[in-house]
Amino acid sequence: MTEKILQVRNLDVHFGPTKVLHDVDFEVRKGEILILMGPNGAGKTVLLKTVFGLFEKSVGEVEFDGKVIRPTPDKMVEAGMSFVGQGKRTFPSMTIEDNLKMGAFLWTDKKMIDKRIDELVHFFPVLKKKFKMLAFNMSGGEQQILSLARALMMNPKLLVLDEPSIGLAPKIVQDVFEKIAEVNKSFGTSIVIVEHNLKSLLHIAHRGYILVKGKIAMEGPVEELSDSKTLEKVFFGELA
Amino acid sequence: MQILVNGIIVGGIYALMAVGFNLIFSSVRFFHLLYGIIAVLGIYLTRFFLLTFELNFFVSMLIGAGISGLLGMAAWQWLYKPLMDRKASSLVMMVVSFGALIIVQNLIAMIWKNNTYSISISDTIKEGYHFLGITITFNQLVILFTSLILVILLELFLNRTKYGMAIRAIGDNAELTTILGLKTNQIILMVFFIGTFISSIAGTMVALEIGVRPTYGLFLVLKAIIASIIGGIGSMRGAMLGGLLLGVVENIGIYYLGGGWQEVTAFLLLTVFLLFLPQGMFNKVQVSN
Repeated sequence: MTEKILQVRNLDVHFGPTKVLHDVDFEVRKGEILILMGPNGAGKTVLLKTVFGLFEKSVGEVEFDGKVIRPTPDKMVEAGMSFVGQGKRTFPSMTIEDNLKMGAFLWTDKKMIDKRIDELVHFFPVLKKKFKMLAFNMSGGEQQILSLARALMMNPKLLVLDEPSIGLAPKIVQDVFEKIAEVNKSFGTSIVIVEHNLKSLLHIAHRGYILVKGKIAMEGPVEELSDSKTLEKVFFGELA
Repeated sequence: MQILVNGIIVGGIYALMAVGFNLIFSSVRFFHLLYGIIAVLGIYLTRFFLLTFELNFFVSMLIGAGISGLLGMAAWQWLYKPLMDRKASSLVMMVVSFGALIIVQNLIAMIWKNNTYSISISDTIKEGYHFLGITITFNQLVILFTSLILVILLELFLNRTKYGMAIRAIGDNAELTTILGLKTNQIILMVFFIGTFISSIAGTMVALEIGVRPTYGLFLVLKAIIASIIGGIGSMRGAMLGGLLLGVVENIGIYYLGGGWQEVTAFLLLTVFLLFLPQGMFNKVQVSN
């Protein structure tokens, strides 16, 4: 588990005159589930979106699977990174089948796409049942499963999930997290999760980072970070 | 019956205009008013190739539409996209688009004069065809078949091809398509080409039926907007049906009330829909990008 899939060095990000990330060093090891924690506005989403190329970095270096890369979403997807953002997660007026096909848009081999869809609908049986249904008609939890499956279409090496529990009922959150752990075990996919809902994640994650005011405040095994005193410090501002 | 047939023929043109407009609107979410005048420019270009080089009507129409399509792409790349990158609101985009429409309209009037021109496919065929008590001219048949063929081709493209699926996806959730690694800007350029190409052909159909003036751009885009709203904005099938319904209702209005009431009938129909069915006939899944 020590080989790295992603390494970020000295990353600075500015929004206009405001510096939102300060000299961030961050790494994800192959095969691990990593949690990125921190209070609201700490820069968690900015960090991941910058690594994926959705925001421009001011300074710093991103190395993905051993290669230094200037991130843009198409390059990162081709290199093997998948990103599931917050909020609107699906193409609502398209069927589940078409939603999944969109996940492998960069592939040209139709047979390969169909084979992968077949594998994923077996892995996520709820999608098989509603295969020809419009995504709009799915529940929030099902839509999250669909976005997860779509992100796995191109068999990514690294899957990034930005607050996957947002808007979901606690029972469904548990189901979604169990599926995430299963993805990690079955496909060997490295996973980064930005999440507030820490309790549900503790038993599936391996390591974590705590980001406060755009700086890495702590890193280490989840057990250490989830210590109630540490979390108190994070969320009540003592680590800033 | 004759009114219905005339209505369907005019409606076919409106349907084409609405489909192209809707295709672009679904992808960029602002009213591209310039669309109307680029369609008019397509007519003038068709006429230019037809008269200057004595090319076949259909070849001239395709060249005119192709050039219009390229101008549509240029409008996106060099006018709208820089503004979108600066986070301009859809209101700002619409005002800019309207300004550009006026400029292009005046340029057309400067080059080709502010007269009404018509286009004819053939001088020899003047007599209409008669059957079941209906008279239909050769031009009207061309309009009908061209509209039908284009609409079927577009439906097949959007629903059966990979890039068609990408266009539908951008209409649903543009941000997500970027996240999936698609080169969204290239697909939007494709949308502007196809949408404007269709509008130019629709414009040429107008010229076959009633002729063209530089000021017809606003008229054409307004008809496209009305048909789109009636059909359900964002829905291609809705736009087609909206266009047909608008054409039929306008013709009924003209028959019973007189030609001067054409626009009133169109706006009355729009008002009825806005009051009682504001989401249109095809209530596509509402997506607010």
